[in-house]
Order: sequence, then C-alpha cells, then structure tokens
Amino acid sequence: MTTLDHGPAPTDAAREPVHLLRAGSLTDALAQLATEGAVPLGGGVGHALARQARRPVTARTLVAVADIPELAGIAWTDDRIVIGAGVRLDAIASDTRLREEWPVVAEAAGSVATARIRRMVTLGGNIAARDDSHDPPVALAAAGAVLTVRGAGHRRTLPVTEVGSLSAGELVQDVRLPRSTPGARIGSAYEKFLVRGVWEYACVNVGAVVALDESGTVERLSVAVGSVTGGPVVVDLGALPGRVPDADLVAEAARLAAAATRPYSDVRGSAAYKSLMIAEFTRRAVSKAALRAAGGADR
Amino acid sequence: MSTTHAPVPGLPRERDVLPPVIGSAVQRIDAVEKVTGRASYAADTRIPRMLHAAVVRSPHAHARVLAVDTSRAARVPGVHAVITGADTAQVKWGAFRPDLYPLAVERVRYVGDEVAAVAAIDLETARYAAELIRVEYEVLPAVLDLDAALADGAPLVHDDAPGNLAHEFAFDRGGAREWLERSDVVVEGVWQSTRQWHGSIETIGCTAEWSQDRVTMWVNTQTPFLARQRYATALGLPLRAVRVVQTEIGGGFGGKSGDDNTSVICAILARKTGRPVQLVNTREEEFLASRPRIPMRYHVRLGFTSDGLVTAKEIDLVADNGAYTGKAQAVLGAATVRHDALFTYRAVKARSRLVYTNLVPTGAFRGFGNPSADWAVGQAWDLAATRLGIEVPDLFLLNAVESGSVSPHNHRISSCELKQCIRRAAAAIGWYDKRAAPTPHRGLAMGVSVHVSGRRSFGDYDGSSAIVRLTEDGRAAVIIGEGEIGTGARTTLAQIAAAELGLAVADISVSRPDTDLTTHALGALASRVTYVAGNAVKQAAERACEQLLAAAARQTGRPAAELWVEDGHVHAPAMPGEDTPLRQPVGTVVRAELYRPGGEPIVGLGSFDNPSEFPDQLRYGNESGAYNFVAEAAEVEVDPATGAVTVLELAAAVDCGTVLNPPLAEGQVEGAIAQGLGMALTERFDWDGGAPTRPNFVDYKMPTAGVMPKLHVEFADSYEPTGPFGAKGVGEIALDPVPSIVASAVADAVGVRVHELPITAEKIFWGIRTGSTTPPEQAGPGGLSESAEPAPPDRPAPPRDRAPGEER
Repeated sequence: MTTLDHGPAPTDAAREPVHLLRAGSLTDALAQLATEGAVPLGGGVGHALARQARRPVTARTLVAVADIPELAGIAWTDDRIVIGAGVRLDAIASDTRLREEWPVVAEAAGSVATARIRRMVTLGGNIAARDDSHDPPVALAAAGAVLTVRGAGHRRTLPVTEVGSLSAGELVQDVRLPRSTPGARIGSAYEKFLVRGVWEYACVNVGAVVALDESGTVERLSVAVGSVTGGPVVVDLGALPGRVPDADLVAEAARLAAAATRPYSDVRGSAAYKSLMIAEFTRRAVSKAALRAAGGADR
Repeated sequence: MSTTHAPVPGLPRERDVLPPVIGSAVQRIDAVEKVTGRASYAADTRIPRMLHAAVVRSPHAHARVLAVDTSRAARVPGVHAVITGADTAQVKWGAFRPDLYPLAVERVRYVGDEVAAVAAIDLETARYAAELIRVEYEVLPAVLDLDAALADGAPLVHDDAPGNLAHEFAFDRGGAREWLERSDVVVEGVWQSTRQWHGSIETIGCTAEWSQDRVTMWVNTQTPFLARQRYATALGLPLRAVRVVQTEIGGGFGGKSGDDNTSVICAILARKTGRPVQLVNTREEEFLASRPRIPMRYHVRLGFTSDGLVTAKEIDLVADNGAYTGKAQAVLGAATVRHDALFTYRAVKARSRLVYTNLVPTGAFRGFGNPSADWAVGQAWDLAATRLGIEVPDLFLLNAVESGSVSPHNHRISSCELKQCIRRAAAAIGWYDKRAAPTPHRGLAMGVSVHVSGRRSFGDYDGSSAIVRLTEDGRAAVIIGEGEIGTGARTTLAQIAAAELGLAVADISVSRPDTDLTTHALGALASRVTYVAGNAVKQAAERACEQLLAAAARQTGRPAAELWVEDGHVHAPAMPGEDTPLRQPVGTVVRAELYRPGGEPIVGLGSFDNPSEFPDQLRYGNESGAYNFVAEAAEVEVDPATGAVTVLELAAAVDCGTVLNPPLAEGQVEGAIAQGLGMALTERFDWDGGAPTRPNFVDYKMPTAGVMPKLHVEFADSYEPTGPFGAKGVGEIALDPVPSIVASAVADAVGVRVHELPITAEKIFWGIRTGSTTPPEQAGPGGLSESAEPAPPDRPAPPRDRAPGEER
C-alpha cells in the first residue's frame, strides 16, 4: 500500500468491520438507512473506487438496495417514464423504447465505462455519487428529469441537478422523464469526448434536447454540460427558442454553453481547451438533436 | 561463437531443410496453466506462517529525514516488525552506479522513496500500522525537471554528483561537423519523450524466507541471476547467502529487472521477523516507485547531399535519470548509438548526459532507449524527406544498411533484410496509392528501427548455457535459468529442443530459473533469449542426441551414422535380410544406457556466448552478434475540430530471421505496437510537486483493443547464420518506431509536428489553431503565435524545423 504520510492517522473506527444488509423492500431499506452510519449500496462500483482511493471509510453499514422491487424496472405511462433507481445502466442503454423516445438518456447510459461496469452500475447510484463527470446525470438534466426521493416517513421530488440536497437516510427511488405527445417533433442527443479514445472519464460531455413546432421553429432547446465545476450545468439559452434551428442557432448555443461553464484543467485537458471542446460538442449534440427532431435519418 | 550454422558454399543451407516443428504454431507449453488460473504468480506464493508487509514512502520530492517514530505502529497487535534505514546494512546498491539505499538514510529524493516498512499478520494490519508511522521531514529544494537539474547552482540530488550528472560521454566518429558543413541539406530539431510505465497486470512482488544464514526469494523478476547479485549487495550479504527463484510473471517489459527496493525490503523484514514475508506493490506503488521509461530530450542535426544520401548526424541528448540510476546508464548508451546501425552515416557525433532529478527513478523498458531515439531521429529523417522532395520509403532505401554493413560504432551487421522490410511495409499500407490520392486530414508515415539479439552489457559475457537431460520415459528436461516473462520463451526453447531431439514439444519440459538449481543466465533482456539461449539449448540437445544415438548404436550393433530420431523413436533402415526397420522408443534406449554395469545418464550440456564485443566507455564495440530490423508504416486521421487522432492502419514488416513460432512472434509485434501507441498518444499523468496526481489507471491510459488500428504484421524472408535455426530476437523491435511514425503521420495529416510526447489531441488542436502546441495562456508573450511551427522547447533555440512542404 502507499502511505505518503499525509495528514493524521485514521481513527481506529476505520478498522471496524462494515456490515452489509440486504434490504427486501423499500420500507426495510429506509429503516436500515435511518441508523447511524448507514449508506446505500447500489452496484458497488462507487464503494470499490472509494476503497481503492483509501478515502476515510465512515460507513458502518452498507444497505444493498439495487435489487429491491420498488427500485426495479422501467414503467411507461401516458405522461411519463419511470426508471427505477436500481436499474442497471446496461438495461437503460439497451431499452428499445427509451432509445426511441429519449436517445440522449440511452446514449449517455451506454457511453459509461465498459460493458462490464455498465452491467453493475445502477442509475440511482450513478446519480447519487454526485460526480460532475458522470454521464447519465448530464443527459437527464438536459431532458428535465426529476428524482423521486424517499426518506423515513417522507417522499419528495427534486430536479436531477439538485441531487446535492440528498440527506443521510434518503434514497433515490426512481427517475422520471416526461413523455412527449405522439407525433411531437422532439429529438435529443448525447455527445461525449474521450480525449484519449479509451475507457475513461469524459473530457467534456454534453446532452441536448430540441423540440420543434409545426413550422419547424425551435420550441424548446435544452443543453446540459458535464465535467465542469458544479456540473452537470443546464445552460441558460436565453432567447434561442423561437428561432429556426440553423447553423447560427447551433453556433450561438455552443457559444453560450462554453461561456456558461467552468471546466477545470486535468489530465484530460486544460480548461482553455475544454471550453472550446464544450462549444464543439454542444454543436454536435444540438445539431444531431435538431436533425432527429426534424425526422432526420439519424434517429 | 558457434559456427555450426554458417552457410557452407556449395552445400544446401540449413534454412532449406528446417525441421517441421520450426516455424509452426505450437501451442504455448504454459497455456493451460495460465488460462485455468493455476499459474502461480508472485502474490500466489503461500508459505506457512507467512507475514504480509507494507511500506511507508516519502511524500516529498526532496527532504531530510529528521526522525521516524515507529512506536505506535510497533504496538499494533499483529505487527511483527517495523524497520527503518537504521535496520538495514546502509549499503548503496545499483546495477551500474550504486546510489540507492534499501530504506532511506538521512534523505529522501523522490515522492515514493522508501522510508520504513512493516510486517504483520495480515495485509490490513500491516497497512494500518504503516499509517501510524510518523516521519518528521525537513523539506529541501528539489529539482523537478531536466532544466532545473542542469541549472547553475541547482540543488544536488546526490552530493557526489556535481551538476546532477549521473553519467556522461561524448564522441565524434568521422568528423560530423565537417560533414554537416559540406551537406546540401541540414535538418534539425528538438524532440522529447516522457516517462512511460510498463503497466504490467501483475505488480512487482516478492516472498522471502530465511533458513539459518541464507534467504530464498521467490520473485517475479525477469533476471533472477543479475537481481540476486544486486540483492546480496543491498542486503550486505555474500552472494552465496541469496537464492532467487522466479515465479510466474504477469508482464515484464523491463520493469521487473530488479532495480527497485521491493524485494530487498521484503528480505530484511523476513530476517527481522524470523518468518516468511510477502511484499507486493500496490498499483499506486508501481507508478510511484517502479522504474519507468527514461524521458529523453534530443537535439538532432542531420545532413544530406542534394540527391538524398545521408552524410552525418549530430545529437545532444539529456536523459532524466530520476533520483537513482538503476539501468538508466546502460539505456543511455543504447539510446546514443544503436540507431546508427540503420543507415550508412559517414560520421556521427554525440554528447549524452544522464541527469539526476528528484523524480521517480527511470530504467529499463522494452526498447531500452531506442523508442526515444527513433522518435527524435526519425522525426529528423521525416523532415529531411520533405525537404529533399523524396518519399520517405525511397529515402530510407537509398541509405539503409545491408548484410555486411558496419556502423560507425563497429556494429557488424550479419543478416539484414531492412530494405525488404521497407518495401513490404510500404506495400502493405498501400503507400504509393495513398500518396497518389490523398484524403483530407489523413496522414501517412514510415519509420524504421534496429535492435539487438542480446547485448554485451553486464560484463564481458552475453552467453547462456543449458542442460538437456533425456529421461528414461522418453522425454527431455531442458534445465536453463533464462525463465519466462510471458513472451513464450520457454515454448520456443522447447521447440528448438524438440527439433534437435526428434521429440514432440509435449515431451519437453523447460525449467524455471532457480539460482541454486539451474544454469546461470542473464535472463529476459535485450531481446536475447531466443537467440542466445536458443543456441545454448540447441547445442545441448544436439549433444544429448549424439549420446542417444551412440547408446543406440552400442545397443543395436548398428553404426551410429545409420540412426536417426523421429517421433520419439530411434530409427534405422532394415538390416540386409531383415524385413522391418529398427524402431526403438527413446525411453527404452535411455533406460538401457542407464541400467547396465557402469551405466550413465544421457545429459547434453550446451553453451553459447554471443559473438559480440564488450563496448568501451564511449560505446564503441559490436554489442550483439545479430541485429533485427523493422519497417513500420501508419495511416492516421486527425479530427481538426478536436485534434483527436485515430490510427487507421499500421503495417509492420519485421526481420527477426527465421520465425520459430508465428503466433508468438506476431504477439510480440502486436503487443509492442500497442505499447508504442500508448507512448505516442495516450500515456501520461498530471504532475504536482514531483509526483503524478493520481497514480493509477484512472489517469494513466494504456491502449485497449478498442483503439488498436488495423494491423498488418509481416515477417521478412530472412535467415541469421549465427541464430538457432536462423532466428534472431523479436521482443522489442516493433515498439521502437511507433511514436515517430504517429508524429510524422499527424504532421502529414494536419501540418502540426508535436515535439514532446505524448502527442495529445490538445497539442494537435492548439497546433492547428495557433501554431503552438501549448494552450495560449501557457505560450509565450502574445499567446497566439503566427508561426506554423512551435518553437522547439530547448535552449539555445536551434533553427525551427519545418512543417511538411515548407521551404527553408
């Protein structure tokens, strides 16, 4: 192991065994999570990474929630799609109806890491990790998704971008996406730049949604950007809706996305480069979304 | 040297009658063990009462160690020993320049330097106790790059190395300056490579156990005998007190050459506790404290006549040694002279300096300096081709060495199919067709390289010896100390023995190195095992076979000349008056030779020393008996909106003499190309305070199958007269040209030539956008430069080199 003699020694508590509880129902899980030091365990990837990074372990109890029935499956109603927080990213990426209706979400889920990891990671765990570079939250932010959050004795909803307000003992139960009316001209797309082309966190990741009215004018335009400070950031696109989705509009959306976000320099690129890439990948995402909205070939 | 296989005029050469097992796709003899998980790697070693260990490392690049408080750690239940530098022999060790203590004495010199260690009942306890050790440091000024280390008045990494120079040498062979002055075309530039880690799936590890006054170390080292010698020094012990046994090795690539402290610390803990101890690097430790590739900065000048004949080359090379020397001194030698065995230079001049820095020590990595040399010198050749208006393959063909060539350093080239390789690589990539119909944002490039088959470097011996014992059940045991690091070397040696003995490969076993039990061997380095050890095994098998036939002759009353071995049987034609030919199982002959009054075993001893010279201090001398060659061509595509590079196709034509086992040889070439692409494009860290900010695979990206280009791997029709069945080395050669061809192809695609590895998308992007490959805020005054080429990062600034098509 690597001990670089940084900071104080960990407390002896860190050496205590961590309990693993397997919740049978949402009620069970919430009761278990209400105890001191209990945290939810989804696919387990985040915990493995934390252990690898030797972050201080404060959890006394892990509550396995991925397989409880109330967090399972993708349900479709007339006005919304409800994706259980326990659904694995792999299942989201390969869901035919989701790929048709919200390609931005399916594409984002399918772009995460590797197939083996996508088969483990749960949607709820991926969101609750609050990592600004994670892909599904970027797509869900662009799509305007809402989380159903459950705590002991309460239920609330919050936009996916406000996941930071989750408190101890709370659990994401599901993610809700709006449904579009039949025949609506809506398109969405996810664009992610792997600067080195191999399994890695994105240099930049962008989700875009474009809805057109009967005349082909942009009715709704939404762009969310990840891998930036405070991300995912939903970009304020001001007066762009109401215009036709031409090259000027795309360029203006790209400019606004770059101006509204603060990337940080790291091994994947300097902040200056990332800002230009945010513009470039916003351009690509908005163009593809607009093409899809207009019934273009790439759907 | 062996002359057994020198071609004899008028007689058919051996190459025309190679045994069928030579050149066939024999399955690896360790395949089943490995795919079923039964192979026992370093961390799989289990000895009763074994303890586990953890190491405390310096968080500072340079500091004085004022105090180490181990009291809390020592009190943890389950801890058996806590050691610091005071518990060691306090002897400096190292392959060439002893400068490394097993645990820090007074000073630490890089982030990761070993300060203390713990052995405990289990790994968790050892790690926990290690975290309780308090070290008081006085932080000292550190030198964190080459320029800082070379600056006047720079802090010294080692007090006995003024100017932070660990090693330097210079030569001028043939009057290079005069040739350059008389040249029609001179190109020059500065190119810098960067640290590259081996990234083996298995990290470095050791298990040590003492018995009386001897220690046995089960280590995943690729050079057990050389490592043993150094471990004995480091432990303050006579050589006889140390026994090294090689475990299975999950990737070597030079990184397991035994230049780091892991095994030494393990042995000290085992002595202190009186129990077996195991110490295996974590991934983070492997990045912080193994011995990655040496960053090298070359200033290259290259001269030509107007019709494209090379005249002379001058290089000024500075290499980042890191805090301790290890093999870096030898790497510097190879990186200075080897590439001069590629072209017919009239004169070469070099000045090479190995510079201490307060960074992770560097050392051996597949290619041994040549990838950095070939990247820098290859860039100059590529620029020259553009300046001369000659296609790169044609320029190479004009100047390439041939069989019989002698380099300015007395490299005596025996077999050489470099020109064949150049033609085949050009054909495989479709060079002239693609040139005739260029595609926007696509670029084409070619590079060449030469490597050794063994290198006389560790004293005046680059030999190997082997024992082949025929067993009374009709098999053969090859006893040799060379080992296996995953290349398939033991399989190849088994093929050679099988071919000589007339036995099936399945009936050959090849030993693992054990310094007590096997023959002495230098191990897996310098692409030497197939050539050097192959010759030793071949001779041992020949001699065993001669004894077998002599025994069979005595037993059957036939003349030995009538006998031969095939399919595990001794054969002879039917005697006059008899119907059936003789067909006697080998085991029967061996047993009969043993089970008689005064009976003897059948054991052949083979020995081979590389027909090479021990180079002098200035690196003059024919370092190897056989040189292998490669030509590689690549086509890349650059996305101008991002700078991202896709390597579309890569063709490699390799001259490694006879290909003994095609899938194994192809595997070596493909793996080397993958590592070359990582070096060229993706492998890097963010650094802060002299260490990677995240020393793990999250940041450090090695190529995966998903980014590999379409590969065309071909082998030249070639035969090395001094090689076993005509074979030469193949383990490293294909890596060497990759960074250069990627860089040249990018320059061809978008006109941006990157001068510092890796060639990241961002550098290319800024190059396209601004002409400088650094972000605007990091560039000089004004940021956005108008020049088409970045200024080389060196001082004094040489004339800037040119983008393709640009005239001087």
